[in-house]
Amino acid sequence: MPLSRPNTAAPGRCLLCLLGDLSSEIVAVLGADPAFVLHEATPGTAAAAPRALARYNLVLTSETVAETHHATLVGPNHMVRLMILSSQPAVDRAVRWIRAGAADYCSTTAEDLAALPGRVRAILAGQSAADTSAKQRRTTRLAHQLATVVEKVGDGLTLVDEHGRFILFNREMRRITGLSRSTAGGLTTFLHTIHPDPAEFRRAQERVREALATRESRAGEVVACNRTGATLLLSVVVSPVQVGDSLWALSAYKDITARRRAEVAVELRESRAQTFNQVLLQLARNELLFRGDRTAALHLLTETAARSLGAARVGVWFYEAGRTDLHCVDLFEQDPPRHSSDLHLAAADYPAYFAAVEKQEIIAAGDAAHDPATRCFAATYLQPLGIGAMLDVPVRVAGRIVGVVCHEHVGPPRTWSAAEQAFASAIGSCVSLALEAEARHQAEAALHAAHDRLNEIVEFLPDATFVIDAAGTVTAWNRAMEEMTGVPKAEMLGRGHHEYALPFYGERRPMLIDLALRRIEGDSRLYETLSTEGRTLFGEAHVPCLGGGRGAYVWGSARPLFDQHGRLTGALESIRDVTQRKQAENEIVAWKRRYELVAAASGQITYEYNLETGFILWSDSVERVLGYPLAELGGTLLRWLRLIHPADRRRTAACLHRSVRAYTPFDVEYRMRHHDGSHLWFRDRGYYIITADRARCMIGMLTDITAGKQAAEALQRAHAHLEERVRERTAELATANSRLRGEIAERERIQQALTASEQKYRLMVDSLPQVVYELDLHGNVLVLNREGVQAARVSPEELARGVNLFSLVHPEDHGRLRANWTRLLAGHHLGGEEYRFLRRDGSTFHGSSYAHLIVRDERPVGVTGFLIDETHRKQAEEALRRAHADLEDRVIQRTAELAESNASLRQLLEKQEMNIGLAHQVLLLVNAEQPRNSALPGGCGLFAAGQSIPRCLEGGDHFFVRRLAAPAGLRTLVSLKDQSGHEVGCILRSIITDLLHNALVGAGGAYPPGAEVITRLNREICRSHLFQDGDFFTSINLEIDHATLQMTYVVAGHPPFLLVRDGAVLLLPDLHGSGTNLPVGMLDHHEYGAAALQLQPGDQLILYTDGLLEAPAARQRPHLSSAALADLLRAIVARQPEARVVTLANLLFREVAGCTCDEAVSAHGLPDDVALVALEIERPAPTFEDCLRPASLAELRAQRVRLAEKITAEWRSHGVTTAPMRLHVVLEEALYNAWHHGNREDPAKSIVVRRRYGNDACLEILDEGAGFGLDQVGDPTAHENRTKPSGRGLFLIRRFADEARWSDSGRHLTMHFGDERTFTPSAGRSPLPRLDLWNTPRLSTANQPRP
Amino acid sequence: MNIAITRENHTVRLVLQGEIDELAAEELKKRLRDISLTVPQRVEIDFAGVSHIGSAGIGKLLVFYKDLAIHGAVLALVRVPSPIYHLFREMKLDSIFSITEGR
Repeated sequence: MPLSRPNTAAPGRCLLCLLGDLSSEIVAVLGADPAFVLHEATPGTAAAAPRALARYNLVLTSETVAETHHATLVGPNHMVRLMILSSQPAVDRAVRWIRAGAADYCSTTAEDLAALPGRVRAILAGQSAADTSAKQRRTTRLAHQLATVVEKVGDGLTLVDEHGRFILFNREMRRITGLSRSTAGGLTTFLHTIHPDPAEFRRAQERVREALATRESRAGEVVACNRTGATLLLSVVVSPVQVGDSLWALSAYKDITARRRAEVAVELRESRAQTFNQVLLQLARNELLFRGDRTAALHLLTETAARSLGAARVGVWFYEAGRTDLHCVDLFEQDPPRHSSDLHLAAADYPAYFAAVEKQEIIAAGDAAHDPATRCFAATYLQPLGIGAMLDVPVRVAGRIVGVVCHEHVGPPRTWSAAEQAFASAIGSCVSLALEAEARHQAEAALHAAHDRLNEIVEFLPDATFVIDAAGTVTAWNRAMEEMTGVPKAEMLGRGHHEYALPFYGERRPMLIDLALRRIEGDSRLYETLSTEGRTLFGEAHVPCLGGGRGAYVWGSARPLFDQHGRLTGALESIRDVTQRKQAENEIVAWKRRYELVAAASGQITYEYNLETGFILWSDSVERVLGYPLAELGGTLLRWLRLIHPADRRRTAACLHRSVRAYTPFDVEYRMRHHDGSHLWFRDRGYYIITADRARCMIGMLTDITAGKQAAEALQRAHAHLEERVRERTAELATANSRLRGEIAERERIQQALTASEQKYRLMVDSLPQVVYELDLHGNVLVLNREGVQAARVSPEELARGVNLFSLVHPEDHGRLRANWTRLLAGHHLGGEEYRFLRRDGSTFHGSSYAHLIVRDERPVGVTGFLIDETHRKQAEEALRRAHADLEDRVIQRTAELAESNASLRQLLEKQEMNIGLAHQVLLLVNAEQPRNSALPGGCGLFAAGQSIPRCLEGGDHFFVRRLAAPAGLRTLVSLKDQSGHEVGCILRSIITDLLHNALVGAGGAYPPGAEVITRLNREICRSHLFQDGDFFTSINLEIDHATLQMTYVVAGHPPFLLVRDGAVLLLPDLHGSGTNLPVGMLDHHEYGAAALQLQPGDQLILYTDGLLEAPAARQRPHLSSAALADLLRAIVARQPEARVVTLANLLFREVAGCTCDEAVSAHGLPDDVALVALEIERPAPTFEDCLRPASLAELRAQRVRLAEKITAEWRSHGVTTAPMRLHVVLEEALYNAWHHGNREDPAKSIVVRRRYGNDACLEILDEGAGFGLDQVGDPTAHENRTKPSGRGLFLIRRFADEARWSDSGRHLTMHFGDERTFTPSAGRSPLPRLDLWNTPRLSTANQPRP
Repeated sequence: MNIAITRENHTVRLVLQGEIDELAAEELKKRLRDISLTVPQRVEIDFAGVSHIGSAGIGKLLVFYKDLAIHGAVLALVRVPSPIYHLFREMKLDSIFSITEGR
């Protein structure tokens, strides 16, 4: 509503303007009064039309609006009658507004709100009174207003007029002083009353006077007393108030006693805390606490705590062992000051207290007699000693409470402040510190003692020893070190920077001790050898400065040193002069080298035969002595046996067998085949040792005694020859003796004759058959005998004239003659010099001259000699040359003859290969048809298949699988054999062996046990003369009982077989374990033993010949041991845990040989024959089944095609690698047979096609026909059947399935399909039934012929 | 299976294509019977396109052979794929009529 048109108040009613937003309570209270008409207005409209406000009887507004619109509302020129409403009335604001002209200053607090209409009415009523003067009215009104406000104000207010009379003495003032305006009297009396202290009274009077005089407020804090005499602390502000012409004094008092006390209390607490801090600081600085003297430290702490906390008694109590007692180790009492101890508290007596100590951090029992933790002491302890309060804090060591510090206050109960509690806790911590200091001092003392002991020990150690601390300073240098280095201890102790290295190396450098101390990486090269054992380092080095500068080899050990807390404190090194030992070692190494050289040079081979693994480790000299590269020689016992000469083999093997059994030295002589095919004699001596890994080994040496053997034989022959020669020579000598005697007599006679006559001498020279000459020093001929004259054909006259030697020698030889002449004159004797001599007729002849110088009276006077005519020798040489040429011609002719012979041999070889093929067929005949899949109880199956990989066309490794129908139930016999040798005879021996073996097993009935069969087989082999000396075979033979899965096995010198069970791979049998035997064909009296193994579904067995272990040699890799083979298989099984045994065997072969089985078969690249036999006890497999009921041939075909596609997909998903073509053929033939011949094309009858998957894919076809007799189906290849249009279905089924058998009178056909390339049926897929020599019961055939 | 027949003088030439299974054998039987009625002197069957022949198909060939043999005619299987050729040899069919290997 605009202010310009205010409502007119009804008669008797007042018009009120509510300006601004006043509270709804105000509006409600005023609106409820019928005396008022309310009009609400905004400050904006009021400002726009200030005069309009004058029409209202009263304008009510808030302090805020009034402040904002002060100019509009307040002032002497304004006509507005204003009332200020305040929800928080204050005296100063009230005075200011009333002075400013407001009609009233009114409180609107909840309790004053009800009085508001009365106040408004009073104002409006006052407005109309005109009985007093304006001044008086105003003064009275102001006083009244002030009294109202002041009465409500929270401060104590007094208003004193100019005469010292109290105009106001409000409610709060009455509460503070306990006086009323009437009892307070005048101002002076009042001030006297509340300020009994004259000084305070004077200061109070002065404060009032100054305020009035200066017209400014005066404030202060005063000490006063209330009516009861209690001392109060008051704050007071005295303000002058101008009331009209008078100046009054308004005093506002506030009781600050409680606040001040609180402040004092805080100050006191701070002061105490500071005191406590200072005390603790002093304690922290006090050496007594850390000296390790527990008693002194505790005395200090208890005294300090007692004085600081004002406690009469402070005690330190520690738990006894078991924590059942507390023992007081120190109790300090202040009055009189004294320390005592030896008090005890038992947990059994004071369980509440002991529990509280464990549970509470601090026991602050202000009223000890009633505190739950301490009241147990009331009767026995507190009351007698007058203790009113206790403050107990725990003492901890390593986090565990070990005791308490008890602060006991004698007197009434006392409140323990937080500062006091904190201080007490600090005292507890100090006790902990004291205990730890004591423990540390004790540990340090122990450490020092240990250090002293260490030094003492070090001092007297026999090895030169020194110690450095963590900084590398020498702390110990023992006597032995002084003696070793010549450096006295006094010079070395305290030295660092690697000075200790100087006596050893002449330079500062790290030593072993530094490696131990700092683990310096990369410095290991400082030592020739360096090893560690725990924290100890061991090293050897050559130190150049020891040994008087000659240098020495030292061995050192160094290790770091640690204190009890594991901190590194230094290191210790012991050094030993090992020069002599090193020299001895060098000597040993030199001797070892010499020995190896001598051994190698003398043709010795050393070996180590590991009895655990069966592996032989040959020395390198084996290649030089025997010619075999190590890789080719391999390491199996069998390989060694095969190298032994057949004549020596059985004897050697028996000797080894005895040696191994009796554990006696092995000493035997035998021949071994050299790589070039020759045989060498060896003496083999072996001794047993236990190696470091506790394996039983034979260490042996093969000494080549071939030369000795040959020498012995040659000696024997020579001896006989010599004896013969002696006899001959004796006779010759007798004859010669006789002749010599005659010659001597003759010579004597001639000598006499020569002496007698020179003529006779010349005659004799002339009679010699050689040319004899004598020359002067110029070469002129002086003497030439008759033979010479004839040889040179020189006349006596010419000779008499003088002939020079050079004229008798061919000019081409003059140079040589001249040189020889010079040598001759120099005194050399010349013999056998050949020249061409010239005859006088111009012809020449060859002669050898022997000449020497003639010396007489020590002077050369001439040359004499003789000449041998070599003409005859030359002629003989020419004849020899011609003979040689003739020989060459004969060699050429012989070579041609040999080539012709080779061609013949080649033809023979081809014939032999044909024989090998024939032999192979015979072997297949002997072994008949081998069962591949056999049904076992419980839906399991026995799978057995082999793979042969011969080195050549055919090898000596062969196997057979035979099913035995024993009375006790079906059994399967598996035999794998490895014949020695590779020749055709080896295959023949294979045939003989399997023939004998099968015959001994028998043809039905009670089969003898496997071990007995092998024993008898061995006996027959040894006695049969079919095997020559040195021929033998190894074998592994298994028999599996189909009903019980019990397997017995006999292993005859054969590598162990592999068993895969639940992912684990085992080698069976163990070395020399049960079932291990000698090879067959060595000792005829040997009894073979068997071992047994309980098989279980899922078991997989892989049998192999030793050729598999040697297969890596094809890739220049070392042979494998059986254990290594097992490791390879283990890795394969880990990769493919679900793999079938055929897959495992194929993978194993590829891992070993580096190629697949079929690749190896075609390549013939393996060093030895290999044969593998894989067996598996197949678990029951899921069956897939389809049922066909074709109504026509076309329908049959359509269903067959769909089924073939389905089965092909199944094969693919099961990893069957068989060619799908095989499936198509057999499916077509079998389904047609079942539909046409079986069910007679009856659509009501069904054909069931069932599949299962194991190592082979199994396909079964069942019809509902009458069945047929398999034996009555003719051979379609027989002459009489060839043109018959039917009867070829079964032929095709057999040809394309790996195994096919008919049961249930021919109604149930079961076929198996295996891998195309490996582990195929050994005899191949035969389209016709094979002859079974051993009459094994055939699982097939029907007994009802088809109509 | 497809069968193409050509005649030249007294020689009949059959070119077979595809699989000779139990159903195709029946078709072959009819075609061969027709030929045998014409009393040729020589019949050549080209097997180059034959991927498979079962016992039923072989039986039909033998019946046909007998029909020809009665009239002194000659049957020759030519260009027989290697697997089938070896199968025929295993069955000793090469002792009855001429078989030549194709590839």
